[in-house]
Amino acid sequence: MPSPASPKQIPANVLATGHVTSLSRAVLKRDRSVPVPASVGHALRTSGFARGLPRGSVCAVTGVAPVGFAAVLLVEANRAGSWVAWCSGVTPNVRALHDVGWRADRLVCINPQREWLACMGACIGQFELVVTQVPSGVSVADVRRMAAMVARGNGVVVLLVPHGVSSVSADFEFRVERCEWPTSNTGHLSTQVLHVVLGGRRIAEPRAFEVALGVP
Amino acid sequence: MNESRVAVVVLPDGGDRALHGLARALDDVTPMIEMIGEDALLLPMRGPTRYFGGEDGVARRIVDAAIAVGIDNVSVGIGSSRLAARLAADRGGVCIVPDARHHSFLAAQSVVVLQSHAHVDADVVSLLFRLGLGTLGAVAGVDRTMLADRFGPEGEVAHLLAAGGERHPVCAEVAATQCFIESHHDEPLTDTARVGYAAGELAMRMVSELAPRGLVACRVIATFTTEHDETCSRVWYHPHGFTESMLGERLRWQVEKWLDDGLTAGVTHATIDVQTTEPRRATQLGLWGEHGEADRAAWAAVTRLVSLVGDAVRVPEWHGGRDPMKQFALVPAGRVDLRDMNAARQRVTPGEVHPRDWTGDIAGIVPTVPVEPCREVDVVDADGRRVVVTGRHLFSSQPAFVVDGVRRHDVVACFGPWPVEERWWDTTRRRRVARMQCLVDVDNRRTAWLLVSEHRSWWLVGVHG
Repeated sequence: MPSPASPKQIPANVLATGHVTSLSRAVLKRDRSVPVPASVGHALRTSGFARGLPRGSVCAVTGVAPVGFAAVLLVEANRAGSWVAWCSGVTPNVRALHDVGWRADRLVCINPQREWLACMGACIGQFELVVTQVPSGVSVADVRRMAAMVARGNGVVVLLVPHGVSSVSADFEFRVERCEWPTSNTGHLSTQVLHVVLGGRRIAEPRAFEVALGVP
Repeated sequence: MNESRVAVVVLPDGGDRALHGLARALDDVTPMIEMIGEDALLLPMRGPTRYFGGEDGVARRIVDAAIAVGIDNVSVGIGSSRLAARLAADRGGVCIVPDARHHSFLAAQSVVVLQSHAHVDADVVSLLFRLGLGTLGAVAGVDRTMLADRFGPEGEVAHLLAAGGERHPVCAEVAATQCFIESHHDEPLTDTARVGYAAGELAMRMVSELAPRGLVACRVIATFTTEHDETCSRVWYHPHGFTESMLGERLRWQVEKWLDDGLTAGVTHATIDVQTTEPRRATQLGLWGEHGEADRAAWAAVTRLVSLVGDAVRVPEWHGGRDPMKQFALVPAGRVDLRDMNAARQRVTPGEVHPRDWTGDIAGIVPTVPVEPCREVDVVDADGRRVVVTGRHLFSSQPAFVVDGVRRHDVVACFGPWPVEERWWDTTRRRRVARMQCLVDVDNRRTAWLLVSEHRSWWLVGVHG
């Protein structure tokens, strides 16, 4: 009768620490990105970002309606449970955000006054989404330092750049080229269509797309 | 002498400024003071008892140091473990539990102190209590392996603490480094915000260095040095280990208070020396409704932001009414309880009993940016005559231009007017207004504004920006 095979020994080199992968480093692919609405998602997908905005990125929203577009850009993530810090002297109309679909209980508005840098330091890494507008007195070096901190964290920072102000270098730049009001013959303004061009450092070729606010 | 003798100093009235002042004053008594909470410090007793002539002498020295910095109601507890010393300090004044009475002192304490003073899981403590193990003595009397079998590592910790042991031994001197993180700044950092940034970055690096090894830091020495060699070093301890946000918050507090003291130069060097680590615990986060890590991080950030800019940190609250710019008001975050999720949801939920689509509400989309304070503008027709809203709720003539200060914008289209009479029952607060949406050309781009007519004047209240 054959003797039972002796159990296989695990080679010593496999047991060495270098071969052990910690499970804490494993993150589901879908959790490495922030979800975005379908129209924005399509533009990102064609640029190689299939699941939305990658965490640790800085997005600039420029052009004619930056607040309106930021509201659309972040609605899915906020609805999925992400906290949003709106750190800017320009506060949004929460009713407009609510109408777009935001969860207002996960929104914190901060008017940073002269403490913009300190407030951003407190927000980055703690809030998953931070919307801000760089005040005029802040140096480019400080903005770069902030961007470096964002890149190390797992949040997304959206920089609102008002029309006429020179843009900043960002991973993704959403430029709202123009707005249209297609249903303006119904007695009130019911829909705003934003024509947006997606560009930025991580986008090889600019992509144009449209998003609509209000009743389509 | 028992090597594990420690003193816990508690400030009954709290106050972070006072805590910083006391820690600085006690640096002369002993090095390696641990910051263990918002209102408490821990001093290892091995060195100072020899130097100051016993534990009474050290306690007297601590009280004198506190009085010297303006704190006259400090509590000092001395015991053979962190828990015993903390419980002794809670009795007020100076309370020394001799080593010989250490076990009997702890045995008489309620099991609830494991939760309130030693961060043991609330469910474990509650179950111990319901099982009839109401005191630490009763918990210590149960076999350790039985508790470990029933409650896992948390049960083992509960037994260890109840029996007078220590989760992490107190160190009177610098131990071997487990992880060392440093940052150099060629340009000295003088601004509080920039130093705060650097501190947050250090914490982030430390956590990402330890995470792949499956560890968390429980005890760290954080040191900041200026260009002129002024140094601020603090030992931070948390039994469950520091997350990035927890440590970042503590380091920012440390440097801010230090900078407030007035320094002669900027910070050029910052280090974190990890002294004690623990295996990272697997945490089962809540699936439905429970608080998650993101919630805790956001609350911690709000607390920090409130300390920075006070009432400028605001959260939305549903107020209702027919003014689309005021239906959600922003109220100071410091005055609401963000941790109560149900209350938070109710705070922002439009009333369901009273429908919100009242007459006078704007049917279409509302402006995204409120103009604060609202700006007076002029609406004129093609002949330059002022447009007003008549008693029949019609325009006196077709609006053609909106004059905003010295600038005149073409009106492409306008909608309204929609009359609203608010609070007609209140003679002091009643208000009659008419609203108008208009598309105007501003710098060759088309934008939409919301205007309000009141007392024959027009006000710009919102922009679709």
